[in-house]
Amino acid sequence: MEPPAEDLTLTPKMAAVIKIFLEDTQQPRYGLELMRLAGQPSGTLYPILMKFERAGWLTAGKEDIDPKTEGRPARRFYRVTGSGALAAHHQLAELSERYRPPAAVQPRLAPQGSTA
Amino acid sequence: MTAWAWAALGTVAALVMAALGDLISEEIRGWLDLAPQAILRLAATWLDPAQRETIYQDEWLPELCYALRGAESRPITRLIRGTAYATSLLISARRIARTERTTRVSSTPPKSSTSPISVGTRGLVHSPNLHSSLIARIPATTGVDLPEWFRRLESGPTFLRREERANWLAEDAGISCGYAHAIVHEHEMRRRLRLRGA
Repeated sequence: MEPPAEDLTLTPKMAAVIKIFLEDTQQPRYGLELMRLAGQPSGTLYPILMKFERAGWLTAGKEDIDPKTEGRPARRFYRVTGSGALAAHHQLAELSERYRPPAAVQPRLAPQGSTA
Repeated sequence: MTAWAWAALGTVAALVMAALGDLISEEIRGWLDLAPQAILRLAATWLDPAQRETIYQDEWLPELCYALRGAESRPITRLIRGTAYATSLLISARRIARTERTTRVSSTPPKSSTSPISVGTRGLVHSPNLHSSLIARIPATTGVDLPEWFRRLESGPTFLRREERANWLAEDAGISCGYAHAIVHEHEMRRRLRLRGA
């Protein structure tokens, strides 16, 4: 049985990465591809992937290719776990709450026709 | 006669130049692969021996090889893509190595008692603190107060499992799974309290 996902507080950068996994939970994702999709440099992306993997949100594996035929080594892929997807949904909702502007604040607009 | 000799010489020179051009472009093509790989090897010097195996050999090098093979027909794109990837790792290698050491050292299984969220056989379970904060925010976030959510639950379909009930509520009302689970859990707790009080 899959272990439960550890709790993580998402930062906007972490959210940008985990959202890509939630778009298709079965799709394996690769480092370079994630850098392009999330718009994050390697120095940000790889530490985030390590944190997610350690917390049980992501699981890693090896690309299923024959290195001799392809002429290159197999890449390492990441895939979201079931409990990771559930925890990510919850934490994304929390993050969205944190950044929601207060309902009481309405932008003040100048009255129409005013020259002041 | 002289004109023929010049023409022959010109042809030979053209052939030699074409062959040389091919050789030079072949040489440059080889160097294009080597430059990003050399930068990546330099980045790997920031890693400790164990990390060189798990991070450099298993992750960085295969990605670079893929980038170089994927854009094989376009040498300039290949050079730019490969060099950009290797250079970004050269800059960030120390940070990545440090993070890896931290996560490796502290990789102990999470304690279920302190974790605010866990997934058990009964579905998503929040810690008491997280549950209270979710419940407090529900009227403002959803625009519907708790008694109305309970009425919706009671008038909805009958489910045996809490998870099914929460999933139905999340889908039917268009709210997040976290809030739906909190509402269902709160409803169950209040129902149990009522039954005990009766």
